[in-house]
Amino acid sequence: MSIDKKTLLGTLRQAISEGIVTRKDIEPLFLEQGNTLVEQRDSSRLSAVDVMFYIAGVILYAALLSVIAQTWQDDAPLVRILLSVGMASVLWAFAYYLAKYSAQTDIRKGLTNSLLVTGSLAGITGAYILINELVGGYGDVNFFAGAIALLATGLLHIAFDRYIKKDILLIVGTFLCVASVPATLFGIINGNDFPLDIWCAILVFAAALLAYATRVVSRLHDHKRTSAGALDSLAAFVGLSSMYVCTYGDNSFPWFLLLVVSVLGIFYASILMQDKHLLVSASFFLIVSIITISFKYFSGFGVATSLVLATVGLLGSAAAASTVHKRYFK
Amino acid sequence: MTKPNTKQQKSNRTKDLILLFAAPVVVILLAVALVYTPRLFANPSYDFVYSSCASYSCSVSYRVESDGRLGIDQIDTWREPEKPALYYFDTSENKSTHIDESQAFTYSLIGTQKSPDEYRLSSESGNGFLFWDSSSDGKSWYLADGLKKKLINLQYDSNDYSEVNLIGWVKR
Repeated sequence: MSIDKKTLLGTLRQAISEGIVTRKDIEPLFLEQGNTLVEQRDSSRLSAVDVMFYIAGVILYAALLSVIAQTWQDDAPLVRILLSVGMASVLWAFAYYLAKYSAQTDIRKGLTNSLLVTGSLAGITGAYILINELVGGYGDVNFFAGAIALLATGLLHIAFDRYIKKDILLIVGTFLCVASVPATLFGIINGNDFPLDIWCAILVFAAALLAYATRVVSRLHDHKRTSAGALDSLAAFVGLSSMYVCTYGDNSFPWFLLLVVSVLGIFYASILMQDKHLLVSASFFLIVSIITISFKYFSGFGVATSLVLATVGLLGSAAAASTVHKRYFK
Repeated sequence: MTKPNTKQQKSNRTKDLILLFAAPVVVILLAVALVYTPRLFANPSYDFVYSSCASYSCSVSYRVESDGRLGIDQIDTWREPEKPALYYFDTSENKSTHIDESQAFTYSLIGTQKSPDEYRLSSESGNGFLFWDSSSDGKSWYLADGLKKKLINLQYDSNDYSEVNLIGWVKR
């Protein structure tokens, strides 16, 4: 039985339009032949429509928070827990239904992502409320309880992702699991008069762990799901801001040195990875560092000197970032 | 041809996962060792006298006179004298005992925040592990010399107002 190419493609086109055959069904056929994928999907890139759906999800979460805030005075913890955890379960169940039992269109995909984001935020809020009700108060920060809440919520995201296979869940789940590590460390050192340097060092470690964890998660899914650098910008921001905060501590100079070396390192990494977001983070902290150095170390020469130095530094940073972008980014 | 690649990929994944979990576990274990090991060597030896006011404010406060005896300050003279409760803390037995003024007068006290063996009375809030806070108001009390800390059981009225005020360390 032979079939000509035109008929085959026509049948395939019809099957795709009816949703009988999906991209996932076809891609493995190319891989079996030893070919690379026809088109590598860059899952880290969001379209404007995706962003709008995510914004809608965040606004829905704000509405939910408003309802929770209105019930706060009633001293009814059960209502608060139901509103957060209960709502998260309902939203995720609806998202699951949309993802599994209905034909996938762009609007449905966007709606599913939006529901997942709202459900995720409601779940995190629910975990916070639940753990504080169990501990017996919202006044003092209990890092150990927070770490358990973060880990539990993170694992829940990763577990739910196995059923629904949505990148947003995997990314948020990875972030929450990693966030439980600094929370645990903060719990251990809290109340022991540790200097600011230790708190910052923990955050720098957490940032590095976050970047590494995202890579491992991406590799575990053969790079088909989340991008390896999906949380790099966030990790860079957390790490560099921690270093910057520490420059105001007792060991200002070593932290400044580390900050400058890290900024240059991130510049280099952004070129290697062709990641513009990393370039933006590094440029931002380079500018902040230059302004700080201008005022911290040269304020003795007058405000005008500091301002001139800051301006020169700013122009230099802008020129450097622009050159890097033009010369090394494709 | 594909089999060794798959094997290598699996091995790399295992290595990745081991490193991903080992790094935070090792750091957490190091932090636990750093913070909790010195506590094993905490050995405060000085007993102390403290007061606790059960109401919003008391009209009397206690201090240590230059001769080491208990002194009394009348804060508000216009209202009924409301005295804070006095307690003697026995460090060796980790036990507080309610005492009256006449008993407190018999002790020779050192009115410094630090004991002669360098320990301070300190408290931590909300640092209990989940539900296991050491007292009903969520405060844990310690005798601390840097990282060397000993958890102690202070007796006081744990309402919203009451405060524990160290008066002085008992001379030996």
